[in-house]
Amino acid sequence: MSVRDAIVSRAVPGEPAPRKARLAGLLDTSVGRNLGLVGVLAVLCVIGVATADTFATPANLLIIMTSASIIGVLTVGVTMVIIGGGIDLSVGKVMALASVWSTTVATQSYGPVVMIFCALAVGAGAGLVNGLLIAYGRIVPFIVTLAMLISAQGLAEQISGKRSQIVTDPTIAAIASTRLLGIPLLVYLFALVVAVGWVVLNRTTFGRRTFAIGGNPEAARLAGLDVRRHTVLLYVVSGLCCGIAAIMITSLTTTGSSTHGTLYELDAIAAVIIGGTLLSGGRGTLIGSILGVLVFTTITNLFVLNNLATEVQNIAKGAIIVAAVLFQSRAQRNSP
Amino acid sequence: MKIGDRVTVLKDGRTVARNLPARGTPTAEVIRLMTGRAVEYALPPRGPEPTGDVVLEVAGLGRRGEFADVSFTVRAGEIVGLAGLVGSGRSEILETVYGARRASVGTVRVRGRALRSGSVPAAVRAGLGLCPEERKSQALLLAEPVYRNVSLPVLGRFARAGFVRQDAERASVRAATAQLDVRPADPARAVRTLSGGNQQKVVLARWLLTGCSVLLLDEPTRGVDVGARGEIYALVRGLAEQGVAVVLVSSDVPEVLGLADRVLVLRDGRVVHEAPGGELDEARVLDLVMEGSRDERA
Repeated sequence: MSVRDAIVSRAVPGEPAPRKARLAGLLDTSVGRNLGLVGVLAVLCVIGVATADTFATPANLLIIMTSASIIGVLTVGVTMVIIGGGIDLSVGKVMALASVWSTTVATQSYGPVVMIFCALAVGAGAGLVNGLLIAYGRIVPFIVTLAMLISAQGLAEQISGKRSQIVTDPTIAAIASTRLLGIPLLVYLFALVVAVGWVVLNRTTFGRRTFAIGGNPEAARLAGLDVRRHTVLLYVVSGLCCGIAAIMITSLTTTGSSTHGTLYELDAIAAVIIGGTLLSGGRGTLIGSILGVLVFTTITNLFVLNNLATEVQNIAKGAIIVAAVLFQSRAQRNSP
Repeated sequence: MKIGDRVTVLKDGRTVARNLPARGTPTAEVIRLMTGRAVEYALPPRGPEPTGDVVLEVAGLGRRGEFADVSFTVRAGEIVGLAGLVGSGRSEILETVYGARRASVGTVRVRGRALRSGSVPAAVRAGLGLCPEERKSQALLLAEPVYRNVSLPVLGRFARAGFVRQDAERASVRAATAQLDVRPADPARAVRTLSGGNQQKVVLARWLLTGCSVLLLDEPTRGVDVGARGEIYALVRGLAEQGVAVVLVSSDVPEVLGLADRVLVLRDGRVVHEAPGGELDEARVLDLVMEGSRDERA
C-alpha cells in the first residue's frame, strides 16, 4: 500500500455514511450539541450588542466571566457526579458553609494558608459524608444531598450567628482583585478547574469508570469495579469543588456568609442539563456544562444591562431549560 | 395421562404430535417430543478427560433461602455444567462464587487460596470472570464502544499514573476481539449495534483480555441465533483447551449435556446428582429435576 493509499483509507474509517444521515446524526453527538450551544451563545451576544451599548465592552465581558467562574467551578463537580449516576443538591450551601468556616475569627488568626486549607477540607468533608451515606448507607442521592443542603445551611448560620464575617487578610482579598494580562485571577482559576476536570473525565481511569458506573452500575459492579468506593470519591470531588468555589466567593465579597450560594445548586444542575448531560448518568460532557453556565450568565447580564426585572429573568431561564431538554430528546429520537 | 384418552404435544407454540393414544404412548416418548429437540447446532467434540490441576474449589457453599451445601471442584481445562430448573439456584450459585452475593456459609478457593466472600473486585483479581445471565442489563455499557466494554475490568493495566494509554488499550482489545471473531471488527462501534451473539463475544473478550483462569457462564447462548451458538460453543471449548476452568449454567439441557465434561443437577438449591456429561440424557435430567414434584404427588 502506498503512502497515498494509506492516507486516503484513513480518511474514511469504516463504511461512509450517507450525507443526510450524517447531518441528522450530528445533533446526537456531543460535538454537535456543543456547537448548538455555541450558536445560542452567539445569538445572545448579537442580542446583547443590539440592545445594550455597554455589552461588548471588555469590562462587561469580564463581569460575565467572573460571575460565571464561581458557579462554573461548582458545575464541574456536579457534572462529574451526574455522569456517575448521582445528583448533588448540596453544592451551594456546602460552599457557604466552607466560606463561613474558613472565615471565623479563629480560622482567620492562622492566616490565609490555613483558611484556604480549611475551605477545601470542609468542602471535601461534606462530600465525604454525602458519598458514604449514598454508597454505604444506600440512601438515594437526592435525599442525602438535600439533607446536606439543609444542614449545611443550618451549620453555617450557627457558626456565623447569621452575620457576615469580614475577611481581614489581604492575601485572600487579593485572589479576586489580582489580574493577569487584564483578566481576573478568578477566571484563570475557573479555567484551571475546568481543564483538570476535563482531563480527569476524558483521559483517566477515574473518568472512564465514572462513565461506566453512571451508564450501568450493575454491569460496572459485575465487571469488578469498586462502585461504592468510586461513588464516595465522586462526591468528595464535588465537595472539593465547593471548597474552591468558597475561596473564590469569600475573596470576591471579602466575607464569609451563610447567605452565599443560595440556589446555586439549581443553576449548576440546569447548566449541566442544557449542556446535554443525561440526568440518568453515563453520558455527558464537561464542555457542554460550561457552555450552559456561560449561556445562563450571559442571559443574566443581558437582563441587568437592559434593566429588566429578575422575575422575568427566572421565567426565561426556566423556559430555556425546558426548550433545551425538548430539543435534546427530539434529536435523540431522530437518530437510531 | 390418567384422565385423558388422547394426547396432543405442543412445543414452542406449535403442535408436534397429535392424537397419541394416552395408554399406549410411553411417558419418555412424550417428554422427548416436548423437550428433546434434535440438536440443530454443532457441539464441539469433548477432549480427553481433563487432568489439569484443580483451579476452583467450592465447599459447602450456601445462602439462606436460596441454596445450601453446594460443593464442587473444577480442573483447568474442564467444563462443569449446572443443570436445573429456573429457580433451582443456578444463577445464585454462580453469582455467589463470583462474590456478587455474599455467602451465608461455605468457602470458594481459587488455586488453593480462599476468596473474600461478597467482593467482586477480589474475585476478579483472583482470576474469576462472569458472563451474567442478562447480558444487556448486567454486562454491557450499550451506548459505549466495544473497546471500552472489553477493557473495563483491566483498565488499570493500560494506565500510567491514572492516565489511560488509549493506543495500548485499543491494540489489546483489537487482538482479543479478533481472536473471538467479533463482527463487525470495529472496536470503536457502539455495542448496542451488534447482534446478540457478537455482544456475547464482547463479554467473552473481556475475560479473555483479563486472562482469567475461571470463567463462569450464565446462559451464554440466550438471545443468540443458531449460527452464532455453534461459534460460542467452539469458543468456550477452545478457552477450556487453553486451560481455563469453566462453569456453565443453561436452561438448555442439551447444551449443558453436550458441552460440559461433568454435570451437576440441581433441585431446590441442592445438588441432587453428579455425572459425566456424556452419561446423562435429557429425559434423565428432567426426571431428576422434577423428582420433587413427583414426591409431592406420591
